[in-house]
Amino acid sequence: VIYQLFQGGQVSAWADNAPNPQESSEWAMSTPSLSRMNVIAKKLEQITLDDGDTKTISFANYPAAAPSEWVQFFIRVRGSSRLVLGGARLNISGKDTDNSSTITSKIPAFGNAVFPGIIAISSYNGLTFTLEGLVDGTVLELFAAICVEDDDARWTSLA
Amino acid sequence: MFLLRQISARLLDGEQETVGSSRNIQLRVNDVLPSTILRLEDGDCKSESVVLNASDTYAVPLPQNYASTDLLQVFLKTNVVIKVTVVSPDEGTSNYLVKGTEGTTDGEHEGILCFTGTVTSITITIPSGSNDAQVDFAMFKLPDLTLNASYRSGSQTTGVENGT
Repeated sequence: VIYQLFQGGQVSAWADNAPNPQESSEWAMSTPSLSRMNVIAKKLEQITLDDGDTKTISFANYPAAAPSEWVQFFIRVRGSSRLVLGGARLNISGKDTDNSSTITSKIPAFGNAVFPGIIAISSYNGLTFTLEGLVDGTVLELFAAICVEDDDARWTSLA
Repeated sequence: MFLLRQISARLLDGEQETVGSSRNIQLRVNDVLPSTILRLEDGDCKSESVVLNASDTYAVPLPQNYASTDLLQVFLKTNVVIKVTVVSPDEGTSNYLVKGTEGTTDGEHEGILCFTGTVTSITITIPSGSNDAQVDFAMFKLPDLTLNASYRSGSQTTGVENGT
């Protein structure tokens, strides 16, 4: 089974009193994005973490010895109720673009049920992926997918 | 100043041209309702679009009002593999590899990065031998999300406004 992921983002700011950015005549900024990704494996999970708790994210048959995989993460991060702030981070240990030096990434996010924190990354060359709580009672909704290029044999043989 | 941020992911069965061409959406992730709008001050946000060549290093300009003790929300997209180095007073130094592709062989797939944290500096490096990178970013200083006054809800144009 194959899937396609349509991922998008938009951050718009405007200065006048219009109810939404499309009706504004005083845009300050807008960065729209939409992309179609080829997905060969996926993971969906909801996790609650306290401050200092960790949870490793694993994929079946993930080629850790040659980590040139393209893993897309979307993680919503929120506190236990409407305006209570939650916080967590995604820690990635992997290889640099030379495929030999080790690099580490800490990708934090903070938010609540009204405006959740979002961790999103089209990661590359990752070896290990770990979630870490930064605030007690933080709820994380995780979607992760291994994505491939259009000419990847794993995609073309399935599509 | 008002700000709307929307990050979405929709997972469809099979090979699809558009979201509308699928009968079955397996998963839909939206970050906020379209009505969830934040209140910001002038100088709280910054966006830019830059073209970078192989081996270039680019220091991302931060919003005018931002101090490294504040939380900064960052959204970035790219069409090639880039390395993003973030120095943070809380997290230390992190390096992210963010992958996007372009061209008919690999396909057109934007890579994205989104996070919220304290930031001292953000630097983008293009690996040697890479194609030119088109990098777009938008960022803003996060207001105190525990206060109702940080949100705009309802419509100011009709005079109906909640949560203030």
